Amino acid sequence: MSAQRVRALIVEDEPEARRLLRSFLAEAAWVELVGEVADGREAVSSIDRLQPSLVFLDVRLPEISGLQVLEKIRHQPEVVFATAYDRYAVAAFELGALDYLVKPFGRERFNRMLQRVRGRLDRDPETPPSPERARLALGDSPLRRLFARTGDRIVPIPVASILRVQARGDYAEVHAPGGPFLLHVSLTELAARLDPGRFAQVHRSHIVNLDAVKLLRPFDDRRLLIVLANGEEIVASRSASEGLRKQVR
Amino acid sequence: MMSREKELPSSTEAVPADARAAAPLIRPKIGAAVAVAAISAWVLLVAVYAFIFSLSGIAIGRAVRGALANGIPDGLLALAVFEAARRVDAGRRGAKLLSARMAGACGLVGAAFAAKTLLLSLDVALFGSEQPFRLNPGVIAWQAFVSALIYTASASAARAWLIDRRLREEEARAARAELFRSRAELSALRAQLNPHFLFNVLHSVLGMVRGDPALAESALESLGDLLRYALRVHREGVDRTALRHEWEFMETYLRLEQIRLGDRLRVSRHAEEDALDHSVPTFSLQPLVENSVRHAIAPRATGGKISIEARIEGSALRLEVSNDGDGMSAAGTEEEGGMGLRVLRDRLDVLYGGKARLSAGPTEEGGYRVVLMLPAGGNGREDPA
Repeated sequence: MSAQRVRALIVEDEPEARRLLRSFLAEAAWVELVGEVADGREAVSSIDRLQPSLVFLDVRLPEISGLQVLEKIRHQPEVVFATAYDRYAVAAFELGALDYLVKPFGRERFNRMLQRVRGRLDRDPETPPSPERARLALGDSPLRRLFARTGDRIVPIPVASILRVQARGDYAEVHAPGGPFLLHVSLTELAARLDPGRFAQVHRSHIVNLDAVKLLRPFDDRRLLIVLANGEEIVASRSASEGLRKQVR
Repeated sequence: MMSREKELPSSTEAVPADARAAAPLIRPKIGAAVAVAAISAWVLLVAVYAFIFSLSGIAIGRAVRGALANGIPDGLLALAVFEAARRVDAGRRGAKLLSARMAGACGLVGAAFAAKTLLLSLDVALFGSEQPFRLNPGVIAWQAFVSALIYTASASAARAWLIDRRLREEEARAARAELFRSRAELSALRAQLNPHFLFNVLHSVLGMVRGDPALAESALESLGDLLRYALRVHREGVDRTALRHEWEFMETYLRLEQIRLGDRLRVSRHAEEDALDHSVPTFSLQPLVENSVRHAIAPRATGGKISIEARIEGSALRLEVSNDGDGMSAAGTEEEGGMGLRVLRDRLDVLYGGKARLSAGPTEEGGYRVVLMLPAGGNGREDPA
């Protein structure tokens, strides 16, 4: 953490919402507000000109959307999204380990998020900056990398290295080297973003990487037992067993 | 039929009481028309008997008595057939019905024959006769044949009557289901407040709580008014109301949007006084204005202008919502906004049966305009307020 104050920019089209962010940021002495812009086009030029380290970005903006802003900027700041609730976007934010605030948000939630971001501003050179993570996570194509938050750090997980994923309540527990990692997405949301040729949901609470499967053998007359390369065993559901049998043939 | 019923809402408000009371008719009542037809047929039968008897030289008193002796048992037989159709047939089909029918035929024809014999011998015993009464095999066969004929005729009539009743019952039920379904559809179509709008308003209010508490208070009041109207329309299943109420709802909505969008939102509105009394579908005006806000104001950094006008043309109400947005607003209506227009169009179909018109398109100035023409009256539940 440098002694210098962190330069922040607000991108928000609603005046009252801007005022709210401004008042929240006024309480964080380590943040220096360098500008406020109200539309997407101005956001792109301001980000590249002012080079802030931190941008608060509304998703729905006049002219061009917050997501399009990320595609157009050359400077790569840490980004915190603000959005009215959108289930799909929230899942995508989680897959990119992106920070976001769901409107309406008050001081307490904002400060919690700010603390997390503060610890992360000295970025690990291994971790891609958040605009790039956002591009990966918010696109429609199968993910090649996931990002998990561990404490203040963000850890990239190459999708090919994932052995299996297990549902843990609202979370998905991703088993990969250095893990397991917890992602705040449902298994269904995660499955929708994984390459169906490589990953199979074999049970209500299990996804396996087919490349990590050592062998399949009958468990009972309807179900298959999956043995993974690391020796872990998972019993596939009846319908998934049927699907696996077809795939093997 | 089943899958249709599953789509029906579980909420009781949308279910008309008469639709819920509908139960399958197992024992239909014999109506007056059927009774009159049956009695006339019977009187005719007796008259024909009496006529035939008198033709063969039998004295008129005896001919009438003989006709009654033949007619009463056969009439009772026909009555029994109808009663059987009502009580027994209604629940039976196929082989069961056929065997019940055969047993009934044998029993009833036998009973009718016995009754005729009894009545005729009674007649001989009471009034005397030149010839002693005796059973003639030819007469037995003839009487049984006539009874069987009457049985067949009345059984066919009873069956036809029963099937007709059932068909009419089915039709009535289908009509009720249709009414029911369009009610359910209507309540689904009554557009809802856009949740994104609500969340954004709440967020704006959060911003005012410390910065401008007075504005926060008035915004919360407006939000309360907005929700109260929306809730009332939903809870009471109101399909139409006076434009006055819709106009007020729109004004409340605009007050909140004004807070959110500031001077980017510029509005001009005008409503003729008698237009305000005209009946309009609930949630018809605000969604049109919201469309304009979403497609012509929110996407532009400089905002824009929305014009809202209501006036009477002939006996119809003309509502116009236009904006000065660019071509984007027309393209924008394909998604969420287009959905709102489609929902409104569907509702207009149900409420006005093709007599209302909704047209939308770009204006000469490059903006976008929606015009809604509403005739007086309409279907659906009118707001009593």
